Amino acid sequence: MRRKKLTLRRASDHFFTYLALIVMSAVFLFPCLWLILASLSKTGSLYDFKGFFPQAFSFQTFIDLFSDDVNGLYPYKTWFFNTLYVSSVSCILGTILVLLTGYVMSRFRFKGRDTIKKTTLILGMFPGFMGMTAVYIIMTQLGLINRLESLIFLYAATTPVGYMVQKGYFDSIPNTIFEAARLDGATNLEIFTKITLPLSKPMIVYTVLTQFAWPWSDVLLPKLLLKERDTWTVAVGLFNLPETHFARFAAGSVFIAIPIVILYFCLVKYIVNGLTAGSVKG
Amino acid sequence: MKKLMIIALCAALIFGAISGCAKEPDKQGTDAQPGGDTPVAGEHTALYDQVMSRFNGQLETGAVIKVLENDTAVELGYVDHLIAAFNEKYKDQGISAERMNVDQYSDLATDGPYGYGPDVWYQANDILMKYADNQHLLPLPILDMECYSKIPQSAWNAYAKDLNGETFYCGVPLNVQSGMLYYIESSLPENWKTDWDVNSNDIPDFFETYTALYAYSELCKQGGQPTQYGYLDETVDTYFMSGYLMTFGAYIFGDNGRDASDIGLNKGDAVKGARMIRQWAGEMNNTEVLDTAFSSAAYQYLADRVMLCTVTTPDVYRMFIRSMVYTGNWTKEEAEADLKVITVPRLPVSGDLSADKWEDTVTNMDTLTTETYMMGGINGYGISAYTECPNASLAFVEFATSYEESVERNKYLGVAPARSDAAETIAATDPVVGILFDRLDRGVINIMPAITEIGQIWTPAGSFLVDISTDPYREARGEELMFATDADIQEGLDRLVGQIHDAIQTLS
Amino acid sequence: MTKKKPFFKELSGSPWQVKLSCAVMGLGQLCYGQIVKGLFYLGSLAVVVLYFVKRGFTDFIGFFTLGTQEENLWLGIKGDNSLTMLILGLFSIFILIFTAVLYVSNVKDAMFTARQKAEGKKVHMLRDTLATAADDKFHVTALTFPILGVTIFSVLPIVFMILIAFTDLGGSVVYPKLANWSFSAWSKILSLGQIGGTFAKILGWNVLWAVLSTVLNFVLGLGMALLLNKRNVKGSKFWRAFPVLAYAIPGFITMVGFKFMFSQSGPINYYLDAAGKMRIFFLTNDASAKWWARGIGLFVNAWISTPSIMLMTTGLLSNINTDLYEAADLDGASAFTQFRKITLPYIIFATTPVLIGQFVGNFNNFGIFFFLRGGVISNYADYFLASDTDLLINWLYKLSVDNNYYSIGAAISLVIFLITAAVSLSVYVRSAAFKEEDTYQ
Repeated sequence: MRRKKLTLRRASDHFFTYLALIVMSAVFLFPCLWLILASLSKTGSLYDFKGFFPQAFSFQTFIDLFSDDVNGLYPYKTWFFNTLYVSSVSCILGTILVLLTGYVMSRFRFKGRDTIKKTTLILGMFPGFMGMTAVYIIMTQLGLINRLESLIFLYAATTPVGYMVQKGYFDSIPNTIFEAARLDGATNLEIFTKITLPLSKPMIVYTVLTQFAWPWSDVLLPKLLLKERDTWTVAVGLFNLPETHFARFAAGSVFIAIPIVILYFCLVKYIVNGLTAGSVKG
Repeated sequence: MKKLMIIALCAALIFGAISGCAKEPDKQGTDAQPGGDTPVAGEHTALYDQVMSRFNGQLETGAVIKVLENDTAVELGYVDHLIAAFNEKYKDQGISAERMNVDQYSDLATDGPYGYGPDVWYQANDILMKYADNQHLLPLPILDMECYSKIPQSAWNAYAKDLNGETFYCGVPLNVQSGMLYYIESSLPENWKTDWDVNSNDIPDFFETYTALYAYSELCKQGGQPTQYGYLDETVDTYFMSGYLMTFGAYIFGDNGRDASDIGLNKGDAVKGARMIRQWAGEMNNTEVLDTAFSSAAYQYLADRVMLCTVTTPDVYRMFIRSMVYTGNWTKEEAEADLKVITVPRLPVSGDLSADKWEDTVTNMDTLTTETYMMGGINGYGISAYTECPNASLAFVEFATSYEESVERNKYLGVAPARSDAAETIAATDPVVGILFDRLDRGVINIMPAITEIGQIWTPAGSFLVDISTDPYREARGEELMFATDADIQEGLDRLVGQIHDAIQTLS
Repeated sequence: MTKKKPFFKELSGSPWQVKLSCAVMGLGQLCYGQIVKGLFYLGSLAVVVLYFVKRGFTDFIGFFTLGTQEENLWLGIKGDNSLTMLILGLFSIFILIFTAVLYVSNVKDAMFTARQKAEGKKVHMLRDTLATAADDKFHVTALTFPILGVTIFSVLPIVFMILIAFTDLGGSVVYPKLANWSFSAWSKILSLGQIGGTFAKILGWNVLWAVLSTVLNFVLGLGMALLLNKRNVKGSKFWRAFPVLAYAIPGFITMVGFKFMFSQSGPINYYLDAAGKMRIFFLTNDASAKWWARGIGLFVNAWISTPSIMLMTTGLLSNINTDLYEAADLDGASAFTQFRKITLPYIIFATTPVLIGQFVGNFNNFGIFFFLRGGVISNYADYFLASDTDLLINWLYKLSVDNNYYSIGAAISLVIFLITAAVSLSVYVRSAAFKEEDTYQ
């Protein structure tokens, strides 16, 4: 009797667990599926849909995306490589800077450390774009408008403000390792490059990944600094597409989302690690 | 301190002007141009001469003119043609043009000073003239231009700016923009000749008066017609809907659009017009028209025979054609033959779309209806004050506004030229151009004011139109009506004028 | 180790080389035979002097005047641009401070060498300097570039913004008109009822939004993590893939996608229509859209943010010592009690800093309503240049970027900053995370 009750309870638990899982998956999957469907629409206009479904399907939009830039208005291929360039370089530079900052802030005690800590906390709270006017003028003075380097500098240079995650990770490396190395006569630089970095692979992967993904979704800064369509990033380009080119938007989105999604799937372990590092160890 | 500066500046100005005079500008001979009403007949002030002194007619050798055109013209290939033709013509004179591939709404005030703005910019007059106040846009020596006498004064006025009692013109009109009625002939009901042409003039009656169109739309809603809706339009769009108010005596700014302290959207019988907008919103009973994106949905809906007709500007003609071809039901030539663009219907004087019998409004048109006013714009070219090659830029503008290019632009885009000779040529085959030109001439098109304050009307007016367009839905949603009576509407209009006034005054 | 003497006392008793360094940066080092270092200091000084002669001094003066000659574009009279002058002036001040820091370091370095000499030790040559940079002074070396970058691209713009709040820039005072230092923005905020009223309304919604979305995202994220962590869930990796998918898609694509989905012509309204129901004004600028749009904003924000919270809490859950649960099982504690007594306290303790970050991020979430309701100004009568769904940051954008009210926007953002900083700093300082940090090591 008791056993039966138990199995019944377990069965209902199973049922609701899986129901919840299915609902959750549907909520997350559905909008993505819709975008994929839209990217395969034949006429390309949002107003030609019957509900979620385009009236006719075709792969043409994907072909057009790369072969037909509508007289230079929507050069997707260029945008794609621009973004790739910006995210690769800025993620390398940014990762180096933020790892250094996180490491120093975690391992060293020095005059001014508290000032840096508080300043970065405060900097993080300012509404970012309020500095946009200033950034624009600085870039005009440096002659970097319409240059992808302006974005690279900006992204890389401002990364260290968010060093807390990296610091959290370095905090979790037992101090004894460093002390042992110190006794062996290793310099701080050697400790950083030969001991810390190899131990921080998960953190590095996480940092690189988040740094790499950001330029693919930022619209405001590239819009401010890049005037020429040929210098735009994918995000600005897609954002500027009119409603009549909805399929193009969808196809362009799907195309950049696929590699990022694959990357995330492969590296999900590191992401969990990185995200957890931002919190306190118990 | 600043005051001192201003005095010093004035002194410098006067001094400069005197010395400018003494130099005797080298090209004043062409001043006496033909043309009925010369805008600035007689002598110019010294200020004028000094401002114009940079246009000395000497092309800056090696200059590359950066031209910013609008997206539609680029998309349809006209711009590439224009630039190629210009470069071909000027290849021996050391100047060339290139298309500036940036956002068509580039902000000249922030891009220009740092050298990232265009040299020549094609836009609607209200957008261009926004930059004239702070002198980001150059005044042009229009009297010396070939197109000067060919373009009607009302079009030039869209680019006029007064300074120290002198009128400057900061742009060259290229084409006239105003609402036109678009429909597809094969979407007409089969019986229109027998049932919908009571005055036997071979024009469907529902395109002659809004009362008839209202009746036909009602019929469509009951089903059995070739289209699901008769007339759909973006009832929240100030540009198209303000015509309803203007037809009954309202205006945007007083003194021909120059006095921003006199806002007139609530003047005259504006209530009548607003009431009919509300009627239309109820009749359409389609909330998609409340989306500002409806203007792009319209191409698809006309082609899909969702609606019979809509009102929009002539420059999007090709977008309709493209949507029609995409459906697979038309070839390009068939679509061009099937898509019609005509003048907008007349509005009933009663201010009520269902008060008169629709047949009466057609047979008795002169007493029961009145001509519908529309807001309009003059698109044209402006030259940036930051340009390093004003003369080359001027040469480009001259080229692009020439008779040949005006005709060519119409071929590519279907726009209505502002040049009378081009309009005449095209009108022979394309009635739209003739209609628009005629309407502009008779003042039935109210050109958007050329002052900065125009920028403050769109948001409040759009907000009012949303309120009035959603009013018909309120009852079914269990909300209280906002505009049940004429008094409510008048109050709403007064509120609107108050808001625009506040927006202009606050923070200025 | 000798006890350190006060700086100036030591300085006065220093050898001539140090005094030479005081007079001209780097000379002392050169005299000590530290060629590279000396040249570096001397070179830096030369660059700074050259900069000030060429333009720095003018820029510095310009910072105070904000321009004296108004440009006349039509007449071709060249003039000043207040905005540029403000930032270039600020830059020259930064350079001045930087030079001062460098100068002090140069004197200190010379004093250090003097001490070395006095104690009979070897004078540091290039190799020694580099070695120090890689070891004892590693933190200085490592932080130089980050600090430099952050100063130019983050601190400078923010200081600039703060300064803008004390000028009359904006409205009709934009280039080519000249600006002045003034408190007009503040007096306008205080005197114009419209701004105050709008500010209060938006602030109320902004706080509500930040609290709601932070709690909602946290609860949903944790719920999902617990769900996937359940012992009876098979293939949790497979199920986890769906939220990860959402996490990977660039945020603005999601937002624009949802905007289309909820638009008047979008699929949701299409099915409502097909089912014979009235279409709903989800995001349109109708008064009834206010709460729909706010709700959709919460939903879309949750769609974007919960996956990361889920992944994070998943990681944390796996960190909890399983012994605790086994002991609780033996004591006969129910699953819910276990959650309440073991899991939740731990998660909340561990995520406090993240939650504060989330709160600040949500408070200043610019993207969500910018993308969902871009170009819509609803409820015009009640809000000054804002929509009823706008957060303060969206309003600021409309004020300062769309309408060029620079100084007023800057002043308001200062007020917002003071509020968020005060709230989150006080929470943060009290949190266990902050206190732990200093007892660490």
